[in-house]
Amino acid sequence: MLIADAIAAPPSDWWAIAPQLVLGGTAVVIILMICVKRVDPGWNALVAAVGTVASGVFAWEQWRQVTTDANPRLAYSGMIAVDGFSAFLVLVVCVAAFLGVLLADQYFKREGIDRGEYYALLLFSACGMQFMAAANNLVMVFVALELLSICLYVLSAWNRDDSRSQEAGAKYLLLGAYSSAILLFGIALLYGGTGTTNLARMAEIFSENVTREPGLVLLGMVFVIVGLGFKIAAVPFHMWTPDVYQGAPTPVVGFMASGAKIAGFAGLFRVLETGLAAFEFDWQPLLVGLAIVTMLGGSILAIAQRDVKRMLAYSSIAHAGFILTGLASGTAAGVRGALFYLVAYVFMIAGAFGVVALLARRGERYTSLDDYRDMFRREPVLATVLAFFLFAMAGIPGTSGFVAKFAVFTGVADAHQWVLLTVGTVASVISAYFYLRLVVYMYMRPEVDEGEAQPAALPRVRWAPATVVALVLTVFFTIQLGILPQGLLDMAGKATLLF
Amino acid sequence: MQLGDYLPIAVMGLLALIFGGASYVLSGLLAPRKPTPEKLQPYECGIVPEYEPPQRFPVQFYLIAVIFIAFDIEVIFMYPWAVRMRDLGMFGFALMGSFMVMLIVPLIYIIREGVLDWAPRRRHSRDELIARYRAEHEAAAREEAA
Amino acid sequence: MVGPNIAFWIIALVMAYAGVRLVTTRNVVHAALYLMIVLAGTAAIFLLLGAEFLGWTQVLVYIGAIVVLFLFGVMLTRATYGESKGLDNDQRVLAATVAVIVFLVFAGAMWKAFGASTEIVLEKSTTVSELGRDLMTNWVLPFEAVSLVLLASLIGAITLARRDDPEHVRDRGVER
Repeated sequence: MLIADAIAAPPSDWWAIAPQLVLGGTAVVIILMICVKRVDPGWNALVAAVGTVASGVFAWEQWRQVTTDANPRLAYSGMIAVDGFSAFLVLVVCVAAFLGVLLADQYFKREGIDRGEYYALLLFSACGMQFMAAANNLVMVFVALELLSICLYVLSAWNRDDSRSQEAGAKYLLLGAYSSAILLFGIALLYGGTGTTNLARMAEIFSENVTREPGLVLLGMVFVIVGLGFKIAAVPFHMWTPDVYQGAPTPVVGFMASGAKIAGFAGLFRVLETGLAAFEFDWQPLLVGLAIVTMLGGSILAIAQRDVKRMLAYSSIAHAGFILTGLASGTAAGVRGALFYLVAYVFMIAGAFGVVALLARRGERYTSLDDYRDMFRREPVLATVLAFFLFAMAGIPGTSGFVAKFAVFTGVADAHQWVLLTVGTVASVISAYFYLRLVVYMYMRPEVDEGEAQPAALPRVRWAPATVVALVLTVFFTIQLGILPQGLLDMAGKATLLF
Repeated sequence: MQLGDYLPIAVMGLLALIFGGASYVLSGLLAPRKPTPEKLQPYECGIVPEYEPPQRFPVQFYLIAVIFIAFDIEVIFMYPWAVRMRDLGMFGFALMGSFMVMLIVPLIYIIREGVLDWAPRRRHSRDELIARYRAEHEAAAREEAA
Repeated sequence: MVGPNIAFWIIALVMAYAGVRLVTTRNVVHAALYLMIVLAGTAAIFLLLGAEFLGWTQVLVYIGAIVVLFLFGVMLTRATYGESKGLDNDQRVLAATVAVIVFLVFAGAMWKAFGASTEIVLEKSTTVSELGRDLMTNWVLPFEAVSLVLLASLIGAITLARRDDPEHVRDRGVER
């Protein structure tokens, strides 16, 4: 049966999706450049970098509009929200993607797998992360999550000739698809309980107190937390993280560790704070528990690692725990701290993995703790930079890591959650141990058994301009946010949700 | 469409099931059966394989299947649009068009990357091959002389 | 409405059987075929609930393409013909326990929410026509985003699965 009446076009709101459009468009341009085979592959990275910057400019403009004119709004039938929260995180995604592009260039040339598709997939992934940051509808959350994850599965298997990379890709794909299915279950249950997937509408339904099925909603909530918990690598859903971070090409890890976490947290914040705000007393204890085991688990398990990439993977798990703490506190200050932490974390983790990528040398051979012995003498500059990032991650005052932890714990203290605060402090101390241990290793002389020849000197690490720019940027912002954090703290404070 | 409209389909499915089952059972009952190991091979002709081949199928089959899935999904998205095409007018056409452009881009990529080229790519012109053959021949002759 | 209820139970039992066999069979190809039965059953249940478009989509995409892809995967890899060992995981008891618990929780929540209605009620089934309108108006953004997902996954699959062609790599000016 046909209903014969003309349908009016939905209003289009180009500003609302401008950053995403720019990123997606740039990725398409890169693919077309690959198709035109005469274009030099060196252009791919440049175009990708320009695309992320352009996207960042649009995101900044969005941020300016949203915070000054105070007109946060929903766009495309409530599919996405244009508010301080989305603009803030979209901007952070641009930063992560920009760093990802800069760090990738030299690495992939060195490994001989420099192909333009890498940048296209990275941008598609970043586009998915931005959609995730803005999503106000569970369907949008899911589509964005798929877009970003599918690209990341491919990127982590990028070094096809390396069995570690293949393993990383396969593991990430299997567990990622599984977690997506769990998230989808949760979405279906939430839809079954409320009859809508629009998060703003869902909040209205709860406020009118006409919830039909609180049981379904609670179950759906748990499934959504579990599904997104996989993406942010919270304990006990972290099992894939060490293997994937160890096996995947290091620049990919830098991007994945920052970008996928931003997206996962964006989804979690939006679903819980907007859609399920009425169930705060139900999800808060869950998050508190999750934050506690994540902080402790990440920090303690990192101690046992003998591989630097694996150790950083566990450290990223611990960081996820600290960020979760901000959300679990349930206070505005906690959320502000968590957002600040995300930004600080992006710079620290991207920088640290950038240095590790350089030091690992061709074929990623030198990543074990023993390979880092005596690093200060062999590579003084890189060793200093890495030590700086490690200090920052440990939360030494004067770095962004300290301010971030302080901001998060302020929120926790506001909420009088002393258990969470105590555990957080203990976990910080534990994590400081393994960060500083690596620094100590870098000072130590190499262990040479008697009768064994002195190990051959490794070739000096060569620097490419893009890498230098990335490392300078990450170091600069890690210092800057450590000394003058007020600007970003204010921004994070303004990055509130629409509802 | 009412559920009752599916009755003919259900009946047809049932008939197909009966026919298939009957053929299977009857051929089992009536046919003479003298199995030998050779007869039970997947391919009962040619040379008996001595070992499992490292790869049974070229990877291109897989790529074709993946490409098929993507375009399959595209066609499915076109279906609801096609039903309301007239009502949706130009904006619907534009939306569907942009959706399709997004899948034409990988199609160009697929063609340019040679995923659909099944024959071994001709890498050298005839003259090049002759020149290479001559060079090798001369090198071998020189080696022999030395 | 007794007919749909009977049909549902038949389909559900067949699906449950096929699902159990899917994870217990020792033949990879058989497992793929059992998966096909499960998916076909899902499609049949969609049809039963009046979701025709979804049902036929399920048939086209899952049975027509995904299972075929699985079979290609079996043929591409070195999986042995016939029965193969080592398909069972050591943790299968644990996995089964978790599965049963999840099932009970799900079933409990569903029962609590919808337990009163024991008959399949076709309140309002969405026609393809309505779907077409909604897809192009309210759901424009996810719809277009899906095209990006398809684009990205195609590029990703091709870059990963394509065989390396040394000449081709040299074309791009990359030195190995």
